[in-house]
Amino acid sequence: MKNIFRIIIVFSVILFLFSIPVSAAEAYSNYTYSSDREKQKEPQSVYPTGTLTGDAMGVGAFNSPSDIYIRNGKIYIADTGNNRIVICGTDGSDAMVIAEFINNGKADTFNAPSGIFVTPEELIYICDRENGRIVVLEKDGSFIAEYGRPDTKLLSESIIYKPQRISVDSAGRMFIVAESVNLGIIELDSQGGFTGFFGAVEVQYNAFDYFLKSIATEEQKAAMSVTVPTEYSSLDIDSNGFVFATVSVFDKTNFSEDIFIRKLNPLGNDILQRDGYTAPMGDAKYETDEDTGEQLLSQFIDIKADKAGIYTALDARYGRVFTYNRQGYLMYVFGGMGDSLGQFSSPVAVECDGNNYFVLDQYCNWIVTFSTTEYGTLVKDATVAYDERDYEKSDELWKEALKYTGKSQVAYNQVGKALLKNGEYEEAADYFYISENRESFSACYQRIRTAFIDRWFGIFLLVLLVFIVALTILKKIFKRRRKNRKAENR
Amino acid sequence: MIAVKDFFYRIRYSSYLIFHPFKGFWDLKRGGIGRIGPATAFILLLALVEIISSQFTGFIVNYNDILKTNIFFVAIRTAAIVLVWVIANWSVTTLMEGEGKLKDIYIATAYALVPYIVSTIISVILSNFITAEESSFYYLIQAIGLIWSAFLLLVGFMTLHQFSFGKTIATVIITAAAMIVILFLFLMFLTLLQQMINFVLLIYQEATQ
Repeated sequence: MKNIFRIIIVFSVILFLFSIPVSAAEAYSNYTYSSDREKQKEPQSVYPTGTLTGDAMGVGAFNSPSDIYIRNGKIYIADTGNNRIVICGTDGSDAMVIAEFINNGKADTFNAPSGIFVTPEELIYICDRENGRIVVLEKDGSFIAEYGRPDTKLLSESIIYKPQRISVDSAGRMFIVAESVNLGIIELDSQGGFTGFFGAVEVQYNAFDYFLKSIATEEQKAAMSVTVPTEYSSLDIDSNGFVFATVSVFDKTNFSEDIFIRKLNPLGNDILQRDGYTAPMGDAKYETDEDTGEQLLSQFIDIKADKAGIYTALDARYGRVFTYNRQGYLMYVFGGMGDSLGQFSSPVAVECDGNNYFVLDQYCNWIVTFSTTEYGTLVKDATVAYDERDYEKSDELWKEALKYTGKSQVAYNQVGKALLKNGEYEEAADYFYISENRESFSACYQRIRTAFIDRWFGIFLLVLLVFIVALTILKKIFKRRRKNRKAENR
Repeated sequence: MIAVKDFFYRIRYSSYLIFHPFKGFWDLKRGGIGRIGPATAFILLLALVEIISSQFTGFIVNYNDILKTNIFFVAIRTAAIVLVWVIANWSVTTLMEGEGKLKDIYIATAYALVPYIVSTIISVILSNFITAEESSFYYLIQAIGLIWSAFLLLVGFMTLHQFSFGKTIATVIITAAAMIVILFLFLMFLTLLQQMINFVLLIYQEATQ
């Protein structure tokens, strides 16, 4: 009897343990936005593979590092708190430290280096923030040049010049994001001379504002003109010389969804394509702080221009990494705030190397490494193939990706586009119907209709002709009959 | 058999009325052509057409999420709007010395909606054969139907109530306001009813425990 009791108790405990609901691992959740601006769950695209720490590299722990850059298979880390640059392989091997360099015969050091960029020729550009200068080094760490505060009156004297992020184009022009500068990105020529402010965000007026201003009193006008200045937070340059920049400081109560990420052409105009279901703005569904009324939008802190017009932006508020394609469709999302692997405490920089992603966590003093999953690889390869106009391959890859997810409108849209380019209009129309792309659906339908008319118009005319001829003949026959009958009656 | 013939005669009368509204509405009331039955048929047809337009309008101009549409809700909503309109207009015009009775207003409204019903049917069919560039034709047909119906409503009420044009416009505006008031009262009534039911249920629970 006792034994039976014991067995029952053990069994019930086991059952109880199994009945505890296991919450889904939100840490790795991936989603896109569908046509009704709702989050659409997608298969995991990117998974964390590990972390890179200074200790493991044998160079001592990092101290609040603030930027990384990857060039030719090497990671360049701006280790801000330790006033040094660390260079290592993408797996953390062969670590090398640059803490000192010879500047005009004297030993020189960094003071809080915060931004780093490496050209294809492996020249290292460093934002030496607290020294207020840009330092250019060879890949072995030998000094080439330094560029101090830009010589211009446009930069108010009250602003202490603190360069934070830098990108350099193929001609050696430097684009610098500096702390509390709200006039745009500072552009220097290859000799360090000030060229101008680049990509300044225009103040947008709408008709209603203009009307309000025209009837407001002086005091009201003064209260109204308290506009929040717009500041860039980071930038990167792609292989074609377009500058991708993120804006983090702007008026959060009255904003345009186009302000979060900008793609600037050499004239400084925004040419980013925004055809996606939402603008490239991170989370399109956001909450509002009940106390302050502030909208809790994604806050982009870094951006990486990938190949084929793909770009990846890092949201510091929710720790999520958003990857968009050239047309502005959200490809996949990964990351998040938290303590498990693949989540961040204070993410500050994102980099990409092929199918690997690297996110620098300033608080944890490590780099979290990611790789794309099979699904993520398919999505990325398909996007690249489409961009390289290999529509058949793109179609094939997207269809393969659709085997993982039946609901991704982005995938259906891309398959539809590839089919449209291949001239398979009927099938493409079905895909555009699912992806709610009315414009492309219409383009397909127009061709289907034209083909239909071409196919049937001749036959239709023939039938009409036969009908008319038959009608006339019948009429004549009836007339004759009637005549005959009349004649008979008489 | 005669009843059916009579019914269809009254239905067919709408084709005369929409082109000759002044005489048409006059005969509808004074000539005794208007009947509740045919008018109700038009309202039911309107509800049906609304369902058809939400379900079968071509994809290019149809922004309605078919998976989330409840066709019964669409039908009831359409009928309810018409009925509230009729009641609100009757309430207003009675106070403003209008000559129309509730029945007359109901019949006139139903006949005035005929161009809208027809234009919706035509535009739904057309919408399945157009591209995005040609969608303006779709919107044009819809707009013609709407404006025509609105014009008929005005003429109908002018004839019905023996109002001047200006007074008709004024009553229409007041009717719109009255519709909002009716909706508000209805919602309030529902809320209060719900609270009352809750209250009674609570007492029942307390008492039986």
